[in-house]
Amino acid sequence: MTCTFEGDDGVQPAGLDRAASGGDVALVRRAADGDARAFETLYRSHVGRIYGLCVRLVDGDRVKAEQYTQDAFVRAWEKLGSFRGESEFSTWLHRLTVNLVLGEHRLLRRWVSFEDTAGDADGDQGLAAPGDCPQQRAGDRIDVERALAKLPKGARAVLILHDVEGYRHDEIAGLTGIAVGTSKAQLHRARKLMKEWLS
Amino acid sequence: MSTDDEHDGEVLPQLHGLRRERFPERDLWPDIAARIGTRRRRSVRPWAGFALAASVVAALSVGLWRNAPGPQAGPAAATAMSVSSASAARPGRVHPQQQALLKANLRIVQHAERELERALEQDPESESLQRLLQTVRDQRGALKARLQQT
Repeated sequence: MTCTFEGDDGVQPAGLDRAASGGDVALVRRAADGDARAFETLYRSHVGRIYGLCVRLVDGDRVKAEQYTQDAFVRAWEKLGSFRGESEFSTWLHRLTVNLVLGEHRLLRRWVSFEDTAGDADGDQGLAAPGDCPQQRAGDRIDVERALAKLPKGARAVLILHDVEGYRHDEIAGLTGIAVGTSKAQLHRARKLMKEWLS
Repeated sequence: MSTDDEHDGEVLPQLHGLRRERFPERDLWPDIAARIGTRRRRSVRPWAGFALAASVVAALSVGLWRNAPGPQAGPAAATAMSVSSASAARPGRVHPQQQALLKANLRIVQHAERELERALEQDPESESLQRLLQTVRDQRGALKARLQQT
């Protein structure tokens, strides 16, 4: 299924720096006119957020994340003409990336398989035991990343989009094609598993 | 952050500390630059496509005016050839059916000229657009001159 949520609807997920992206307007205009240097500046400003998003959505696979990051910026270049400036460029780019990764990664099929095999992630295999790391704060961060990577793909995507990226359930439903109720159920389950693993 | 947390429980505190930014181990820009360098953005492509169409129309018009059909194929070229043949029978004179065709071509060429001028506003350094515009202007002048012979 191909998601079609690359619109410019003005909704801004949490964590996107409005002040920083406000300075993008002139660069976006120049890039839309074909200025590759302006587009490179936009790339340098946003690659961290886009790559970070891709890494989390593709199980931490850095090669895939790099490929999706490239694809996202190439697609953004091709679609700059459709960017109307009604939302921040960072929001538009973020949505385009989510749409690209979820659409081309074919998560939706895995969502169905997740729902059909609801017990596939209840164990704690492969997770670090609390206290493994002498520096507790750093250890927490590692454990969270590993726990996220262990979540079923559908649940992880919902948790990342909702709790990390700040999307609402109706937005997630629009991005992925699943029902709002399914998104809520996935989030509930993801949080429950994460709490168990991290407690 | 989302406002529907009350229905789903609390956001895990550990998630608040996650870094949203992460950076690839290598610079991805050279690959991206190479890819976008070979793909003209869709918003630009219509100009190029229209310019090409304009040049074809112009070439067709030239074939009509000079009584020397070019290498074009298809119905449009056939029309030009047939009109040209008729014109060859009486050089210097334009038949009524030719006049209508010349006027139609003139409108197309004038439209192409306006579109090319707009394209050049976006990309003033483009030599290919400048050449196309000059060609279209030449064709407009030639068509007008031919129409004035009627």
